[in-house]
Amino acid sequence: MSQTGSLEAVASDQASFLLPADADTGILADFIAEANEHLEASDLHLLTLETDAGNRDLLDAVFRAFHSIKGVAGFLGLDGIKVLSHEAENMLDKIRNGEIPLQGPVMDCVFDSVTFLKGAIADLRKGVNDEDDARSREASSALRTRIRALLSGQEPAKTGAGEGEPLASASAPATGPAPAAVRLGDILVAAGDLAPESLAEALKEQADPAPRKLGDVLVETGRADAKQVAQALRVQKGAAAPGIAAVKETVKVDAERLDRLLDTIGELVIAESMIQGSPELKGRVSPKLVQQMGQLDKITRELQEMGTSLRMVPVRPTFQKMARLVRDLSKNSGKAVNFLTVGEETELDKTVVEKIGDPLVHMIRNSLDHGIESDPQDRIRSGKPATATVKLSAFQKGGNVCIEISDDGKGLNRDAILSKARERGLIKEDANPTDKEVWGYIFEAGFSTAKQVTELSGRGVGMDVVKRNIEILRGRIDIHSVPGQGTTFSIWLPLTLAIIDGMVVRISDERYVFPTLSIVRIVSYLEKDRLTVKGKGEMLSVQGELVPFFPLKDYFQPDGGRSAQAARLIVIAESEGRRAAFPVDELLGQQQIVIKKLETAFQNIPGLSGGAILSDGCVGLILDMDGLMKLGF
Amino acid sequence: MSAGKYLTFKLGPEDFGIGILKVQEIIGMLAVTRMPRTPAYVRGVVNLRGKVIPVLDLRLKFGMEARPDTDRTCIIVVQLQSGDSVITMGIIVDEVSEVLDVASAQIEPPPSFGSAVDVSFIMGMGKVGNKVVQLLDADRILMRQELEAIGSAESAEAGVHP
Repeated sequence: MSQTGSLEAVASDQASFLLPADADTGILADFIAEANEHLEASDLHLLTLETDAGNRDLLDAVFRAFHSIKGVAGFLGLDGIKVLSHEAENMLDKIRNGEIPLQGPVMDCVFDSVTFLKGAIADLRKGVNDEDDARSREASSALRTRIRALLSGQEPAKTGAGEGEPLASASAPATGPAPAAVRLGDILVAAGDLAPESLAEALKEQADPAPRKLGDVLVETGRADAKQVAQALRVQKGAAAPGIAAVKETVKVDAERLDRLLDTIGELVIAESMIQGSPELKGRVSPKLVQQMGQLDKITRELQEMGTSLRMVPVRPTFQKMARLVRDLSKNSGKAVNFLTVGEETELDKTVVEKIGDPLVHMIRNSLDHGIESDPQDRIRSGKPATATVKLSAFQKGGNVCIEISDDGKGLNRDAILSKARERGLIKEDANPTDKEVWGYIFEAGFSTAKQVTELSGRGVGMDVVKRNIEILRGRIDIHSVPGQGTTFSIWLPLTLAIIDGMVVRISDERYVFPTLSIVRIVSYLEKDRLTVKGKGEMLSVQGELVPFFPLKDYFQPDGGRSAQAARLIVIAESEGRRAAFPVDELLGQQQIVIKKLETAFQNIPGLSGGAILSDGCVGLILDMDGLMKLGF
Repeated sequence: MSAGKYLTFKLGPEDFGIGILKVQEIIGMLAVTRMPRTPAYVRGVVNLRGKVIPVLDLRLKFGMEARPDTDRTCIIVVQLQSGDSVITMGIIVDEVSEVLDVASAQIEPPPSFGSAVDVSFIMGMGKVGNKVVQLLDADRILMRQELEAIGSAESAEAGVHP
C-alpha cells in the first residue's frame, strides 16, 4: 500500500487504453487469456459471495485476480487497465479488512469493474482504436469516481444493507454458514454419527450459558468425536462453496488431436469387432485365445468409454454465465428474480455445451422479459411470492440429457398465440389445436417480428433460431406452460453427437439402422392386417390402430435387390408424434452405433441421417425418422 | 498445360490419367453399400478405415457399358475440390496401370469427338511413347451442382410412397 499515493497521482484520466507500440505480443497473448480466466472466475466467486458474504477464500481469490491483472498490465504499459485494477484492488482490500461490507452498491461496483475489465480486454484482443480508448477512458473515469465515493463516504454502503437487495443475505453472520448451506448438526445426523435427540440437547447447551460453536459442544460432551466433526465440517464447507470444491487438476489438449485420438479409437473398436466376428476364427479357437480375445475386447470397450468421456464436460461454466446474465437482466428490468441452478455437474459433449449457450441466453432472456410479471403486485395477487424464481436445471435420463428452464411467471398466453397464428394463416379459423400444437407455433420463423405488443410477441423472437440450433444438435424442445403459474422449456439433447443406440435390420439386400429411441414396438407381419384406406394409401392395423404402411424397399431400392420376399416383421416407429409401420426382413440386433457423416452429396437424401460401420466392417445406413415421416405424409 | 505425374488406369481398352496429387491411395475392391435414390453411377459407400466415403463407377459416369468387377478392379481414392471444401471419394476403374511423367509438349487439346467419354471431363490428350492417355480434370468428375442434385432432385420426381 506504500505506493498508493504515487499511483493515484498517475490514476488520472490520462491513462491510456491503447496498446504501447513496444508491448511484447507473446506476453500480451498470455495476459489476455489469463485475465479472461481470472475475470470469469471472479464473476462466479462474486455470485457465491452474494449469498455467502463471509467466504474469505473467495474474496481473496477475487482480490488476487485484480492484483495480478494490475501487475501484468503495468508491465505491458497498459496504464488504463492498471489504474482501474488498482482502484478496484484498493476497494477489495478495504472489504477484506472489514472496513466496508461487500453488499449493495459496493457489490455492484465490483461486478461493474469485472465487466469493464472484460470489455477492455476484449478490445485488446481485437485491437484498440482511438474510439475504444475514449470510450474506455470515460467509463473508467466514471467507475473510479464511484469507487472513491464508496471508499470515502462509507455511510450509504452500510445503510443499503438488508433492504431492496433480494440477492444479498444480510442476516447471515459473517462467520456462520449462508442460509442455503447445510447445518453441521444435520450433516452429522445424516451420517449416522449423531442421534437427533443428542443434537437437540447439544443445541440447548450451545446457547447456554455463553454461545459456543456446536462442534466444540459436541466434542466436549463426548456426543461425537473430533474426527467426525472435522469430516462434517469439510462436507459443510464443500456444500457452501461449490465453486471451490469442484476444482480438479486438468490438462489442456488441442481439440483436433483429441478428435484424432477418438477417430483412431473408433477404428480400433471396429477392427476388434471384425476380428471377433471373423468366420476363420470360429470353431478352431483354443481356450487360451478365447481368454485373450476377451481381454482385448474388454480393453477396447474401456478405451472407447474413456475416449467418449474425454469429450464430456460439465455444463457448469455455461450455467454460471447464465447466473450472471440473470443478475444483470434483473437489475436492468427492476424485476426481483431468484435464480436457481440444479445439476451443474451434469456432463455433455463439449460441442453440445458450446452450442447450447446461445439458445439458453435467448430463452432465459425471454423468461425474464416476458414470462415474469413486471409488477410484483400482479404476482402477489396470484398468490405467488413477489420475488420471481427462474430455475435452470440439468439432469441425465437414459442416453439423453435434459436442460430445463422454468419460470414461475404468467405462462404462455394461448389465446394470443392462437390469434397470431390465425392472422398469419398458420391454422384455420375454426381449428381447435391442442396446447402442445399451440406452443409449437412460437417456434415458427418470424412468428412475432410483427408489432411486439403482448407477452406473446417477445416469446417468439428468434425462437425459430433456438429450435433450429437445438435440432442441429439432434435435440428437441418440449414446452409445458400453465397460465398464471409459469412456463417450463425442456431441451432434450443426446449425450454425445457421435453415438446412438440402434437396431440393425435387413431390408432386402441392405442393412439399415433404426434409432432405438424411435421404435415403438416390433410386431410380426400378417397380410390380413394390411388395408387400403381411401385417400390415405396403405395402412396397417396394429392392435386396433391404423398406422401408415411404409415399405422402405420400394422407396430406397425401387429397381433392384433380392426378389421380393414377403417381410416377416414390422417395426413401428414414431417421430414428432407421427407413426409409421416399416416392414423389415430380419432383425440383426441392437448395438451402439457410431454415426459417420455422409459426404455432402449424400446429406440431401431424405430419410438418411448417416452411415454406420457394422460389425463385419461394411457400412449400414442410419434412418432419419423425421425425414421419413415428412416424406410419407 | 498441366504437365506432371499422372496415375494411369484403364476403362475397357482406353487409357486415362489422373493428376497424382489428387490421388490419396489405391485400394482393392471393398464391399459397397448401395445408396438409395442416387444415379446409377453412384455405386454406394464403403468403409475406408472407419471413414464412410462414396464410390463412383467411372464406367457408368462416362457413359460406358457396365461390367462385372474382376480381381483387377480397383478403387482409386481421390481428393476433389468442390467449392471451398475437399471431398474424399473413390472411383472404380477396371485396372490401374502406372505412373506416367507427362511433359507439356506431350499434351494436346482434347478432340471434340471420337472419345468414348463426355469430353468435358478431359483436360487434354497425353501422348507418351505410342500410348495415348486421356488426362482427366479430376475436379470436374463430380461437379458441385451435380453433388447437390443427388438425392434432392431424384426424390422430388420419384413417386414417394405411400
